[in-house]
Amino acid sequence: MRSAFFSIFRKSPFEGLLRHAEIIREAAPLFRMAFIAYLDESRSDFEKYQNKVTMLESEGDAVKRNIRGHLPRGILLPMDKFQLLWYLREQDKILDSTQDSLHWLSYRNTPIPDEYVDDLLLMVDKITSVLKSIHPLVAAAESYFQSFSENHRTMVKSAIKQIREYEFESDQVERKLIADFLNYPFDNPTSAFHLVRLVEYMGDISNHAQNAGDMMRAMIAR
Amino acid sequence: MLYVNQIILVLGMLAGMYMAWNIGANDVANGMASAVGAKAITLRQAVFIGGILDFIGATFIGSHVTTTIRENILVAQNVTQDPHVMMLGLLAALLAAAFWVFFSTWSQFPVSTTHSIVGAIIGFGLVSGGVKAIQWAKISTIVLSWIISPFFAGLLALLVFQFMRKAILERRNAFVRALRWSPLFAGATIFIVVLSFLMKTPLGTSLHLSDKAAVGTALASSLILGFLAQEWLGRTIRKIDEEGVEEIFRRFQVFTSCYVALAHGANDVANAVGPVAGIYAIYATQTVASTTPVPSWLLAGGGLFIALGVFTWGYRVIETLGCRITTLTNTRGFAVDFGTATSVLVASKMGLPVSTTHAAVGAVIGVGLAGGLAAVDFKVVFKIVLYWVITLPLAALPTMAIFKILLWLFH
Repeated sequence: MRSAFFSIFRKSPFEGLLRHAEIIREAAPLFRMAFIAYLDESRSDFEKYQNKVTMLESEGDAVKRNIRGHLPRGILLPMDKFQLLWYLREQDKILDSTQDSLHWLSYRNTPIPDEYVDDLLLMVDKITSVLKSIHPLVAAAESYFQSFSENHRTMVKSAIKQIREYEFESDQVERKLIADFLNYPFDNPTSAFHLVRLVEYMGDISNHAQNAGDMMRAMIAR
Repeated sequence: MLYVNQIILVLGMLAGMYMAWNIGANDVANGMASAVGAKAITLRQAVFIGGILDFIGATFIGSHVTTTIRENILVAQNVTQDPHVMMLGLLAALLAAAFWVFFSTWSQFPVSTTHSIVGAIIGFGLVSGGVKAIQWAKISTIVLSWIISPFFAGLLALLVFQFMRKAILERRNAFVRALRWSPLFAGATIFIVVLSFLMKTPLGTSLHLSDKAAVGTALASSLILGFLAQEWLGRTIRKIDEEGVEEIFRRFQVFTSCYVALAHGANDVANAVGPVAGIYAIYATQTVASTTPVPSWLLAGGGLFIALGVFTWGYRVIETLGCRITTLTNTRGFAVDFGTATSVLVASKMGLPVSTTHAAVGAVIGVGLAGGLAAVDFKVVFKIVLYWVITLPLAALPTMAIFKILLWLFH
C-alpha cells in the first residue's frame, strides 16, 4: 500500500519554476556583455555571448516543457493551475524576448550615435536588473506556498513591486530612446528602424516580467 | 478428529503470525514515515515507538473490532454446521489473505490487509454456503466505511489545516499564535486518545465509567495536559516565526504519529487474529455459532508479531519512505496524522474494520484541497480506489481454491 500512497505526492512545480528563474538570472550578465561587445564592435565576442543566451533559452524551454508535461489533469495545486501555467508562459517570454533582442541586434551592424550610448546602456542596465529580479520573486513565492506565512507573502509582494519599478524606469528610457532614434538624422533610415525595434524588444522583456509579477500577485491573493 | 483439529489450530496460528508480521512490516510506515521524513524523530526511535505502540494498541484496544470480522460477515448457520469445515474455511481465508498481502507487498500493489481478509472470508462463505451465507447488509456497511473513513479523515484534515492557515500561518507573529492555540491542538489529540482508552479498552471499561464520566475525564485531562503542553512548548522552544511554528507541530506530530501507531495496532490486529480466534473458539467449544470473546493472549500474540514485523521489515519501509516524504512539513504532517488517527479510532469504536491507509489517503487529499500540498495527483487516488475494489475478488478466489484443497486433505 505504501508505494502507491506516496505516489500521490507529485513534485512541486516551483522546483522547475525556480530553475527557470535561475536560467533567466544567468542570462542577465550575458545579455549585458553581449551589448558591450556590440558597442565595442567586437563581433566574435558578441556572437559568443549571443550563443550562450541562445543555449540558455533552449534550456529554459526544456524546463518549461517539463513543468507543463508534469501537470496533467487531476493534479491538485495550492494555486489555480491555469494561473500557474499563464505565469510560466510570461516567465518564459522574458527569456524569449532576451534572445529576440540579441538576435535582432545581430542582424545588422548599426553604429549607435555617441550621444545615445549612455541612454542605451542605462536601458541595458534596467533590463539586467529586471532579469535578476525574477529569481527572488519565485524563491519568495515558493517559500510562501510552503509556509503561508505573512512574512513570505510580504516578500513576494515587495519582489513584485521591485519588478514594477524596474519596468516603469525601463519604459521611460524606452520612450525617450524611441523618440530620439526616430528624430536622429541617420544616413540610412534602416538604422533608425533597427534601433527602434531593438528598444521595443528590450521593452518587451520588462513588460513580460511585469505580467509575470501581476500573475504571481493573483496567485498569492487570498 | 481431535488430532486433525490440533493441526488446523497450529496451522491457523502460524498463518495468523505470518499475517500479523506482514501487517507490521507494511503498515507501520503509515504514521511513522512522515515523522521520520520531517526529521521529527530518528528512524530508530520510530521503529521502537511504532513497535511498542502497535503492540499496546493490539493488546488493549483491539478486541472490539476482532469480533466484527469473525462473526458479522458470515451467517454461521448458513455456512456450515460442521465445526471442522468452519475451521478449515477460516484457515483457508487466513492463508489466502496472508499470501495475497505478501504477494502484493512483493509486487508493490496497493492493497489493504483489512480488505484482503474480508474478501477472503467472503470467498469462504460463498464456496461453502452460497450467497445466503454472507451477511450482505454488514458487507455493505463495511464497504460504506471504506468510503466514510477516507471522507471523514479528509474532511477533518481539511478543517484542521484550514484552521491552522487562517489562525496561525497567515497571521503576523505566527509563532506566538501557534503557541496560543497549542492547548487546543494538544488537547484535542489527548481528548480523543483518553476517550478511546476509557470507552474501548478492557482497562477503561473495567473502571465502569458512564459515557458522561468518560467524556468528562477525557475533557479534564485534555484541558490540564493541553495547557501543560503549552507551558512546556513555551519554555523549551528557542525558535521564532515559521521555524517556531514548525517546531511546535513537529512535537505534536511525534504524538500524533504515536497515536496512528496505536490506532493501527487496535484496528489491524483483527485482520490476523480474527480468523485465528474463530478457529480457536471452534476448537475449544466444538460449536460453530460461538460468541466466545477473543482471548487476550491471542491479541497480545497478534500484537507481538505486528511489533516483530515493525522491527524487521518496518525499518526498511520507513527508511525508504521517510526520505521521499519531504513534501509533508510538520504542520501538514500533523493535519494528516490527526485526521487519519481520529477517523480510524472513531470507525474502530463503531466496530467497522477500516484501513489506516485509506484514511491516510483521504487525509492527504483533505490537506491538498486546503492548498497545503505542492502537488497531489488525483489520478493515483483513483488507481488506489480501483485496487481497493479488486482486492475483494482477488482475495476471495484463492480462498475458494485453498478451501477445496484443505477439504480434500483433512476431511
